[in-house]
Amino acid sequence: MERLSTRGRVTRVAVTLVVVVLTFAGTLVGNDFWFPFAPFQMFAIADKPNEPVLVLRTDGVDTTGKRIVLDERNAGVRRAEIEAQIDRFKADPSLLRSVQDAYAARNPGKPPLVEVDIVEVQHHLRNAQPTGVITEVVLARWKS
Amino acid sequence: MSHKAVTKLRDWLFEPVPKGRIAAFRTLVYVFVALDVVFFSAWIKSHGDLPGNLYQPLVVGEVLPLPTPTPLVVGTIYWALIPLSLAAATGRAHRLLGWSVFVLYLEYMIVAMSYGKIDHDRFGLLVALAVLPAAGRARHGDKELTEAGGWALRLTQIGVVCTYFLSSLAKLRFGGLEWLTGATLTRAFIRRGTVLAHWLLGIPGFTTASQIGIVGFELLSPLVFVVKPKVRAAVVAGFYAFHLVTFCLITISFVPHQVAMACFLPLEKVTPVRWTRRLLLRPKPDGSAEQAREEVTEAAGDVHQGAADGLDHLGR
Repeated sequence: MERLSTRGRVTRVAVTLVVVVLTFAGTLVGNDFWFPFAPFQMFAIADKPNEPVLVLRTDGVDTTGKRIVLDERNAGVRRAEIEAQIDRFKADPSLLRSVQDAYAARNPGKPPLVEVDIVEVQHHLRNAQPTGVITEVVLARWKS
Repeated sequence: MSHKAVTKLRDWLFEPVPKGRIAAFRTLVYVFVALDVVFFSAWIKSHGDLPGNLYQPLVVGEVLPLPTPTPLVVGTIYWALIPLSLAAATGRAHRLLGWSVFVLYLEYMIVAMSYGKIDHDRFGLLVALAVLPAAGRARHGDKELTEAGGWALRLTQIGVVCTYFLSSLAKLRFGGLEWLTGATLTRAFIRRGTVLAHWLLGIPGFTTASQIGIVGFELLSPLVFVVKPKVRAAVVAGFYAFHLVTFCLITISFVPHQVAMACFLPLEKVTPVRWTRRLLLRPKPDGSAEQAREEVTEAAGDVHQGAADGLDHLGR
């Protein structure tokens, strides 16, 4: 058997203590900027059991009047990115023109979009259970 | 703490493992690093293209101070990590290659986590990468026991279990007791749930019961260290099952964490090279001589190992 020297053991015990203390401190009093000792807080927020769950969706309407759900594949739209910048789109819906252009570039030959909407889909809950009621609100609309 | 308890704790921390297990864990972890950089975490590479004003440096990034990610910085780490981690997977130059991979991968993760979203799915993997360079030289199949290797696996195990245990403390810190009866899972199911998750949402109380179950399991996870070996294997299988279910419901894989968690497994028993060799050298009707030679060689190996163990026992 390969044994450790006393020095090797002492060093390793010290490393163990430092890692354990930093890890616990990170979660108990630290914040995200402490990474790699940041709090283990994915999914740690308690969402209210009686408030609607909000999901943003980006819709396009083409020249034939057809409504199309825009996503990463057909228009390069990522939900997380739209959600992160929603205030900008609300303040200036003309920014959505870039989505219109991206759709045209990715779908040559298809009827172009004449309208792009960012829709907030509200899934209503009661006691953390979906009630089945879903409402939709247009947060930003761009028409060309 | 009494003297006896200290001795017990020390023996636990340095409980020796076969060197073959360290070799196997090294191969697994370093091959995964290459795969992670190229496939699982391919999104990180694009962080080099983001405008510098989106960069929110972490404490470690300010103290050291690390450069603001540019395509050059991120590209250099990316292209260095792939060959270095594959070389480290062979077990050669375990210190030099091990430390290089650890430093580069840590910096890569710092880049990943410096844009507002912090994941905790790779804490165990980072611990594994930090301790493997100090786990000593190890060859595949080597049955000799090692304390340095035992400590490396133990600290990785502590990192893995901390990931569960501290997640529950974080839920109580940030979400409070309301987390248990809140709509966190409902929200996750609605926003990114699979067909199965949407079906389960129809069962009244399912998400609340699951939330209570998750916190209970996370708080009790340290028990994996005190249960009997057979129960421990079942507990670790339960950990893996938890991630399988999570993946089936909200497609979150936690793969880096699962790789690190292999530190609980007797990896030295997984010998793909030997299995392949055995399969290829399977005795043909006229190949009995070769088979016999092989058996003699193996038996000789066992005798040699037996003698080595005997010498160990005598305090070699």
